[in-house]
Amino acid sequence: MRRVISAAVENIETIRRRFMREWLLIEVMEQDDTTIPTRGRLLYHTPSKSEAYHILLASKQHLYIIYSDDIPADFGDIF
Amino acid sequence: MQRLYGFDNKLPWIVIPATVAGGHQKKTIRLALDTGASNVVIPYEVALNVGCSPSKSDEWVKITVGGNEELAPKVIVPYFECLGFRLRNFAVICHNLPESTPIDGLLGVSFLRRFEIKINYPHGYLIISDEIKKYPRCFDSDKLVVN
Repeated sequence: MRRVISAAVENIETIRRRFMREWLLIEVMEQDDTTIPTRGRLLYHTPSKSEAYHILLASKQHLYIIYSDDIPADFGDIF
Repeated sequence: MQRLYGFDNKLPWIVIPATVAGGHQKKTIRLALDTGASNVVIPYEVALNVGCSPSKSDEWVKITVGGNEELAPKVIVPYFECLGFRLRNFAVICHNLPESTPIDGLLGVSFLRRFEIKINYPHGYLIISDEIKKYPRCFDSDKLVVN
Protein backbone atom coordinates (compact mmCIF):
# COMPACT_ATOMS: atom_id res chain seq x y z
CA MET A 1 0.00 0.00 0.00
CA ARG A 2 1.24 3.47 -0.79
CA ARG A 3 -0.07 6.56 0.82
CA VAL A 4 -0.04 9.66 -1.35
CA ILE A 5 0.82 12.85 0.48
CA SER A 6 -0.90 16.13 -0.48
CA ALA A 7 -2.17 15.01 -3.86
CA ALA A 8 -3.92 17.62 -5.98
CA VAL A 9 -7.61 17.56 -6.77
CA GLU A 10 -7.97 16.06 -10.24
CA ASN A 11 -10.48 14.44 -12.53
CA ILE A 12 -11.06 10.83 -11.49
CA GLU A 13 -10.24 9.59 -14.99
CA THR A 14 -6.94 11.51 -14.99
CA ILE A 15 -5.95 9.76 -11.76
CA ARG A 16 -6.99 6.35 -13.09
CA ARG A 17 -4.87 6.66 -16.21
CA ARG A 18 -1.68 7.00 -14.15
CA PHE A 19 -1.95 3.52 -12.64
CA MET A 20 -1.98 -0.05 -13.86
CA ARG A 21 -3.75 -2.89 -12.06
CA GLU A 22 -4.12 -1.05 -8.79
CA TRP A 23 -7.00 -0.21 -6.49
CA LEU A 24 -7.29 3.51 -5.87
CA LEU A 25 -8.85 5.21 -2.86
CA ILE A 26 -9.88 8.69 -3.86
CA GLU A 27 -11.37 11.32 -1.59
CA VAL A 28 -14.46 12.59 -3.40
CA MET A 29 -14.51 16.36 -3.94
CA GLU A 30 -17.15 16.70 -6.66
CA GLN A 31 -20.03 14.60 -7.98
CA ASP A 32 -22.33 15.00 -10.96
CA ASP A 33 -26.13 15.02 -10.78
CA THR A 34 -26.26 11.23 -10.85
CA THR A 35 -23.98 11.20 -7.77
CA ILE A 36 -21.07 9.84 -9.81
CA PRO A 37 -17.76 11.14 -8.43
CA THR A 38 -16.04 13.35 -11.00
CA ARG A 39 -13.14 15.01 -9.16
CA GLY A 40 -11.12 13.95 -6.18
CA ARG A 41 -7.82 13.59 -4.40
CA LEU A 42 -5.89 10.32 -4.48
CA LEU A 43 -5.10 9.13 -0.95
CA TYR A 44 -3.92 5.54 -1.37
CA HIS A 45 -3.15 3.04 -4.08
CA THR A 46 -2.53 -0.68 -3.75
CA PRO A 47 -2.55 -3.74 -6.01
CA SER A 48 -4.50 -5.68 -3.36
CA LYS A 49 -8.28 -5.40 -3.25
CA SER A 50 -8.47 -6.72 0.33
CA GLU A 51 -5.88 -4.18 1.46
CA ALA A 52 -7.90 -1.43 -0.19
CA TYR A 53 -10.98 -2.57 1.76
CA HIS A 54 -8.94 -2.67 4.96
CA ILE A 55 -7.91 0.97 4.47
CA LEU A 56 -11.47 1.93 3.58
CA LEU A 57 -12.74 0.36 6.78
CA ALA A 58 -10.63 2.67 8.92
CA SER A 59 -11.11 5.85 6.90
CA LYS A 60 -13.34 8.77 7.79
CA GLN A 61 -13.37 10.57 4.44
CA HIS A 62 -15.88 10.13 1.66
CA LEU A 63 -13.78 7.68 -0.35
CA TYR A 64 -14.35 6.34 -3.82
CA ILE A 65 -12.79 2.94 -4.34
CA ILE A 66 -12.01 2.22 -7.96
CA TYR A 67 -9.84 -0.15 -9.99
CA SER A 68 -7.38 1.66 -12.22
CA ASP A 69 -7.85 -0.43 -15.34
CA ASP A 70 -10.86 -0.99 -17.50
CA ILE A 71 -12.39 -4.40 -17.17
CA PRO A 72 -10.78 -6.50 -19.92
CA ALA A 73 -13.20 -7.28 -22.74
CA ASP A 74 -12.38 -10.99 -22.41
CA PHE A 75 -13.10 -10.99 -18.67
CA GLY A 76 -16.27 -12.94 -18.08
CA ASP A 77 -17.93 -13.65 -14.79
CA ILE A 78 -21.22 -15.10 -13.67
CA PHE A 79 -22.36 -14.14 -10.22
CA MET B 1 -37.33 12.52 -11.82
CA GLN B 2 -35.39 11.10 -14.72
CA ARG B 3 -31.62 10.61 -15.01
CA LEU B 4 -29.37 9.76 -17.91
CA TYR B 5 -26.24 7.73 -17.23
CA GLY B 6 -23.59 7.00 -19.83
CA PHE B 7 -21.65 3.75 -19.56
CA ASP B 8 -18.83 2.12 -21.46
CA ASN B 9 -20.56 -0.38 -23.74
CA LYS B 10 -17.26 -2.09 -24.57
CA LEU B 11 -17.02 -3.51 -21.07
CA PRO B 12 -18.58 -6.87 -20.28
CA TRP B 13 -20.76 -5.31 -17.55
CA ILE B 14 -22.60 -2.07 -16.95
CA VAL B 15 -20.61 -0.63 -14.05
CA ILE B 16 -22.35 1.96 -11.88
CA PRO B 17 -20.96 3.83 -8.87
CA ALA B 18 -23.13 3.76 -5.75
CA THR B 19 -22.69 5.55 -2.45
CA VAL B 20 -23.39 3.93 0.89
CA ALA B 21 -23.68 6.26 3.88
CA GLY B 22 -24.39 6.19 7.58
CA GLY B 23 -23.03 7.45 10.88
CA HIS B 24 -21.08 10.37 9.31
CA GLN B 25 -19.36 7.94 6.95
CA LYS B 26 -19.77 7.81 3.19
CA LYS B 27 -18.18 5.44 0.72
CA THR B 28 -18.61 5.13 -3.03
CA ILE B 29 -18.12 1.74 -4.65
CA ARG B 30 -18.63 0.32 -8.12
CA LEU B 31 -21.42 -2.17 -8.75
CA ALA B 32 -22.30 -4.26 -11.78
CA LEU B 33 -25.90 -3.86 -12.89
CA ASP B 34 -27.26 -7.38 -12.55
CA THR B 35 -30.90 -8.17 -13.27
CA GLY B 36 -30.07 -11.77 -12.33
CA ALA B 37 -29.19 -10.79 -8.76
CA SER B 38 -32.11 -10.57 -6.35
CA ASN B 39 -30.39 -8.09 -4.06
CA VAL B 40 -27.80 -5.37 -3.90
CA VAL B 41 -24.47 -6.82 -2.79
CA ILE B 42 -21.78 -4.71 -1.10
CA PRO B 43 -18.45 -5.63 0.57
CA TYR B 44 -18.41 -6.39 4.31
CA GLU B 45 -15.97 -3.57 5.01
CA VAL B 46 -18.23 -0.95 3.47
CA ALA B 47 -21.17 -2.09 5.60
CA LEU B 48 -18.98 -2.00 8.71
CA ASN B 49 -17.69 1.45 7.85
CA VAL B 50 -21.19 2.94 7.74
CA GLY B 51 -22.11 1.48 11.12
CA CYS B 52 -23.70 -1.86 10.24
CA SER B 53 -22.66 -5.14 11.87
CA PRO B 54 -22.91 -7.93 9.29
CA SER B 55 -21.76 -10.61 11.72
CA LYS B 56 -24.57 -9.67 14.14
CA SER B 57 -27.26 -9.63 11.45
CA ASP B 58 -30.60 -11.23 12.31
CA GLU B 59 -31.18 -12.23 8.73
CA TRP B 60 -28.88 -14.48 6.74
CA VAL B 61 -29.76 -15.41 3.21
CA LYS B 62 -28.58 -18.25 1.05
CA ILE B 63 -26.70 -17.00 -1.98
CA THR B 64 -25.30 -18.92 -4.91
CA VAL B 65 -21.78 -17.91 -5.88
CA GLY B 66 -19.95 -19.70 -8.66
CA GLY B 67 -22.14 -22.76 -8.25
CA ASN B 68 -21.66 -22.94 -4.47
CA GLU B 69 -24.21 -22.00 -1.87
CA GLU B 70 -23.17 -19.71 0.97
CA LEU B 71 -24.92 -17.86 3.75
CA ALA B 72 -24.55 -14.09 3.68
CA PRO B 73 -25.82 -11.48 6.13
CA LYS B 74 -28.48 -8.97 5.16
CA VAL B 75 -28.09 -5.55 6.78
CA ILE B 76 -29.93 -2.24 6.59
CA VAL B 77 -27.71 0.62 5.45
CA PRO B 78 -28.95 4.09 6.49
CA TYR B 79 -28.51 5.56 2.98
CA PHE B 80 -27.98 4.00 -0.41
CA GLU B 81 -27.51 6.42 -3.29
CA CYS B 82 -27.24 5.39 -6.92
CA LEU B 83 -27.92 7.06 -10.27
CA GLY B 84 -29.18 10.17 -8.50
CA PHE B 85 -31.71 8.37 -6.30
CA ARG B 86 -31.30 8.10 -2.56
CA LEU B 87 -32.99 5.32 -0.58
CA ARG B 88 -33.18 5.34 3.20
CA ASN B 89 -32.82 2.25 5.38
CA PHE B 90 -32.12 0.04 2.43
CA ALA B 91 -31.48 -3.70 2.82
CA VAL B 92 -28.31 -5.05 1.19
CA ILE B 93 -26.41 -8.31 1.32
CA CYS B 94 -22.80 -8.31 2.49
CA HIS B 95 -20.47 -10.41 0.42
CA ASN B 96 -17.00 -9.81 -0.98
CA LEU B 97 -16.60 -10.65 -4.64
CA PRO B 98 -13.38 -12.49 -5.54
CA GLU B 99 -10.08 -10.59 -5.38
CA SER B 100 -9.69 -10.83 -9.15
CA THR B 101 -13.04 -9.17 -9.85
CA PRO B 102 -12.44 -5.46 -10.60
CA ILE B 103 -15.78 -4.35 -9.11
CA ASP B 104 -17.09 -4.26 -5.56
CA GLY B 105 -20.61 -5.62 -5.74
CA LEU B 106 -23.88 -6.02 -7.59
CA LEU B 107 -26.80 -3.71 -8.29
CA GLY B 108 -29.63 -6.20 -8.14
CA VAL B 109 -33.40 -6.29 -8.41
CA SER B 110 -34.09 -4.98 -4.88
CA PHE B 111 -32.93 -1.58 -6.20
CA LEU B 112 -33.89 -1.87 -9.87
CA ARG B 113 -37.51 -2.88 -9.21
CA ARG B 114 -38.33 0.61 -7.94
CA PHE B 115 -37.62 2.29 -11.27
CA GLU B 116 -38.33 2.31 -14.96
CA ILE B 117 -35.01 1.68 -16.66
CA LYS B 118 -34.29 1.79 -20.38
CA ILE B 119 -30.90 0.53 -21.50
CA ASN B 120 -29.45 1.53 -24.85
CA TYR B 121 -26.47 -0.76 -25.33
CA PRO B 122 -25.41 0.33 -28.83
CA HIS B 123 -24.97 3.94 -27.68
CA GLY B 124 -23.93 3.16 -24.10
CA TYR B 125 -26.50 4.93 -21.97
CA LEU B 126 -29.39 4.18 -19.70
CA ILE B 127 -32.32 6.27 -18.58
CA ILE B 128 -33.70 5.70 -15.11
CA SER B 129 -36.92 7.22 -13.88
CA ASP B 130 -39.08 6.98 -10.79
CA GLU B 131 -42.08 8.22 -12.79
CA ILE B 132 -43.36 4.77 -13.61
CA LYS B 133 -45.54 4.68 -16.71
CA LYS B 134 -47.82 1.77 -17.23
CA TYR B 135 -47.30 0.27 -20.65
CA PRO B 136 -50.70 -0.33 -22.31
CA ARG B 137 -49.97 -3.93 -23.22
CA CYS B 138 -47.92 -4.75 -20.20
CA PHE B 139 -48.98 -7.48 -17.85
CA ASP B 140 -51.12 -6.38 -14.98
CA SER B 141 -50.40 -8.55 -11.97
CA ASP B 142 -50.93 -12.04 -13.27
CA LYS B 143 -52.73 -11.11 -16.50
CA LEU B 144 -50.25 -11.30 -19.35
CA VAL B 145 -51.37 -9.89 -22.70
CA VAL B 146 -49.75 -11.69 -25.61
CA ASN B 147 -50.09 -10.54 -29.20
